[in-house]
Amino acid sequence: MLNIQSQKRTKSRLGLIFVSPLVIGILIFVGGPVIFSFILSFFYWDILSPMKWAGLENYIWFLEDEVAHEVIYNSIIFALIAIVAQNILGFTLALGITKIASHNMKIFFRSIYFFPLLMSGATVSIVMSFLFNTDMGVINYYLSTFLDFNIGWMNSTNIVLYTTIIVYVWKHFGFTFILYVGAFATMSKDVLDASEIDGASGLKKIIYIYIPLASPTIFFSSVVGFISAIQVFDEPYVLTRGGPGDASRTAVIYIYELAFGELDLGYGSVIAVVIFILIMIVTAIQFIVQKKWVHYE
Amino acid sequence: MNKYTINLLNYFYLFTVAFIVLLPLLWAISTSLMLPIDSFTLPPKWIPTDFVWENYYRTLFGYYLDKAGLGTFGDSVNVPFIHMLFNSFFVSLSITFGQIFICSFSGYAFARFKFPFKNILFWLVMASLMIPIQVVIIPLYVLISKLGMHDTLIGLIIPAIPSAFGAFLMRQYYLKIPSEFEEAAVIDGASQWQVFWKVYFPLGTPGMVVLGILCFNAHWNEFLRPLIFLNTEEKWTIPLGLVALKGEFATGSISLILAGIVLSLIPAIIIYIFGQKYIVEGILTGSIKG
Repeated sequence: MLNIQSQKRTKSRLGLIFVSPLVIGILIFVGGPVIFSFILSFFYWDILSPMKWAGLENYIWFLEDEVAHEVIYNSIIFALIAIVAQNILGFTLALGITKIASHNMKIFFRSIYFFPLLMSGATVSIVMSFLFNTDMGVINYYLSTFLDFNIGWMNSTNIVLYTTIIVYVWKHFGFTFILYVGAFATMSKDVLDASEIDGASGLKKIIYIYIPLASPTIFFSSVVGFISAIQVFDEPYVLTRGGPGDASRTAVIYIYELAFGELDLGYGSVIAVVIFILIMIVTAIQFIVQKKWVHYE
Repeated sequence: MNKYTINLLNYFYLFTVAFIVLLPLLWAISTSLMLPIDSFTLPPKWIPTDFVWENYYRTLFGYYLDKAGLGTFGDSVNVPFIHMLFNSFFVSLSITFGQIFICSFSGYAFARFKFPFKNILFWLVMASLMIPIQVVIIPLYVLISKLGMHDTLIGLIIPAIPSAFGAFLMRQYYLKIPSEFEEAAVIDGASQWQVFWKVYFPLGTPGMVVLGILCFNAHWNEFLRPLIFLNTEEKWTIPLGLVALKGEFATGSISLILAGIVLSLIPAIIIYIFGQKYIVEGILTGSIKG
């Protein structure tokens, strides 16, 4: 008995020792910076001279700063379209490969869809910037068969944001695809068989069987997809540096420029705090709303 | 619509997306092997017909030959590609090994030990997953600078090691390993430390492989942190150098940039061939609610 007691004590001590490097690391490199971001947003600071109290000045400027509004708007539009596109692609492609008979073809398609996930957003964007070039790009070359004008993929203010979304989705849809493949693989065979017998077919089966059964995955990939898309940087930065004008400037590009270009760390932190709060609100809403439509088995 | 038509449409859809994924890659490879003057030739060539391996040679060594005053590579490639390769390997591997250790320890403790504040600490770690690095990049940069780690590879490595995702992943693996191993080891006189180090740590290898692959790949491809933390070009990582190279001649000899991109993809291709199932497993394990 004594032995068991001392084992328990050792375990409790070892437990704390084992988790402490991780916990201390996270406190220093995540927790501390989050708090410091909030503090910094109430100061003027250029990192070189001492910090100066700004009160709400930075926040007041945020309310007036039209560039800030545009970058937040761009980031939200970017995130919304990207997660919808990723989920539709992931869902339909995963469903598509479950419907084909050949095992080898399944592996063939799966391997292809998966590959962009392993590439760097920055290098993908370099390649895409050549392909989307207005006058010399491959994409406009082929489109010129149907169109008598060149699309300004990266230099039209109306289009450029969508170009960055296309590149982002190209690189990231493999993630949602894998999630849905996983979801469909673990779906209860009984339910699917029963629906077969009931004669449910095609679209009805997708709406009444597959979507409800996959709802936890739809929920998870929307939460994760939103958190990663709202903070997009690599693709728009490499493609256009946020331009033309501010048309493809996202919040994180703006944070980067403010803090490391203009050395306005206080105001840069305001944008960071806003994005942070936005993530919290959207995630909270998603968690509240999920009760109405997500079915866990 | 009958079954046959649906099947045909399904295949058409699957192939279309597959082509959209493959064509940019084919174009990049094919163009990386063309003479730089021809690199914007239209119609594009999808299958390489020229094999100008010199592009690769110039991308890899141009900077050094230029510095040494050898060869006429002049304005071709101004980034130290060998340095970049080494830096990227060094940073990615260091973070990977660091994460494997720290996350094995903490994942094991969260899975199998009872200790004070366990739930609070676990909740804290999980909450940090919600906080994007981009949002804390300003304070992180300040911290790194104050610690004197600005413009060093160490400054890139250390903050990336305590990974909440990695700890969660390892915890899931240790939860799957039966506790009978512990009982058997304790009866044989093993201490708790030995139970972990001799029995469970090695049994956690599949989880470590998954974590290692995901982590290496993520940091091999990382762009924002290196962009902010590193100044000296000899310290650049690959994505940073490639973007700088692209900035120098936006419409110039793109085959040299593409050669660099193809070179940077080699680890991804190796991971792709040998580690695909581990990544799929990692993504799916990470998505299961704890």
